[in-house]
Amino acid sequence: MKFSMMIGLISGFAASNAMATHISEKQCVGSDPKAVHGVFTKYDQYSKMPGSEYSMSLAGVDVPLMRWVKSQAKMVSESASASEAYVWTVLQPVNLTESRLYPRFLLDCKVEWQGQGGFRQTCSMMKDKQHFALDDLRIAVEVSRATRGCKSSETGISIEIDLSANSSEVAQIKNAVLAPAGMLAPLIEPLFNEEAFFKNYFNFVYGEWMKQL
Amino acid sequence: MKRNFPVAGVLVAMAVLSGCGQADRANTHLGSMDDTSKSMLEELKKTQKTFDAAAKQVEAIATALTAIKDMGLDVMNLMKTAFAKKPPGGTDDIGAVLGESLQPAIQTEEANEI
Repeated sequence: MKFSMMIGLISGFAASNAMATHISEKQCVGSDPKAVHGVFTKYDQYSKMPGSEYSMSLAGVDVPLMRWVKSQAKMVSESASASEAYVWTVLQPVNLTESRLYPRFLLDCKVEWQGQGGFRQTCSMMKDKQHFALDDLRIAVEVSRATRGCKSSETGISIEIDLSANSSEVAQIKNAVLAPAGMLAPLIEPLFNEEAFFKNYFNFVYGEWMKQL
Repeated sequence: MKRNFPVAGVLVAMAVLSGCGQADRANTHLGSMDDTSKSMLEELKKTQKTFDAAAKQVEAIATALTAIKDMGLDVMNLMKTAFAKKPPGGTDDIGAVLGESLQPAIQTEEANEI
């Protein structure tokens, strides 16, 4: 069986399985809510922040999995207690130069301060705007001084992410990523899927952000 | 020149992989988790299990690749060639996405780099 056929069969199988993913992360950090706010609302800097490049070492080779290549923000409103911004995000899977295959989406991000003690940030994908690879993405971040399980001097951060990948579009990415691998493609194919591209990536991104705090 | 591919090596490798096909994948980076409560630690334990499963899968693939390498194929070179970092292609800016002629209030784009 030709390898391209094998890849096709594998991709076909993947395409028949849509995947919804939930990510839940909780941490206590030493920084105050204002500092956390400063990191989480650097919308225009997301592509340059620690964690923007996610890779793994395989057989002595550094294999890039996902890279945040564009983050542009447009503030919609801003006050002392709340803000709203549109955030345009583009990710580069592995080393693809074919940008039509890049996961991309526009987020509507809102922040509401709950006194001085914390804030809530919600980001929702604007489904009526250009998007690829994801059908939906919702991020909810709760930041509070008074968090159960954290010391009084610490700030608790709770992150909940729900995303729904478009399996047929992810299969297109996968085919393009695996094509240069030739005969190795069937072997390394399990590394490239919705979970690696999105669940693991967002886990990594937020993990790296919180290391700064 | 046509290259003979070590089919047996691939079969062995695929067999190794089939044992972990359902394993959860996760990144290998955990943030600092000190000073968390018992309930938070319980959650972390669950997360750790996911990470462990991912690590096992990567290990299995690495083992399989080594098996193929031992049969004479230059796996490392193939991998390096296939996954060499490349600069991103051009994409729309937020103004075009929003359908506006105005430039975004804030705008950055990572410079191409290799």
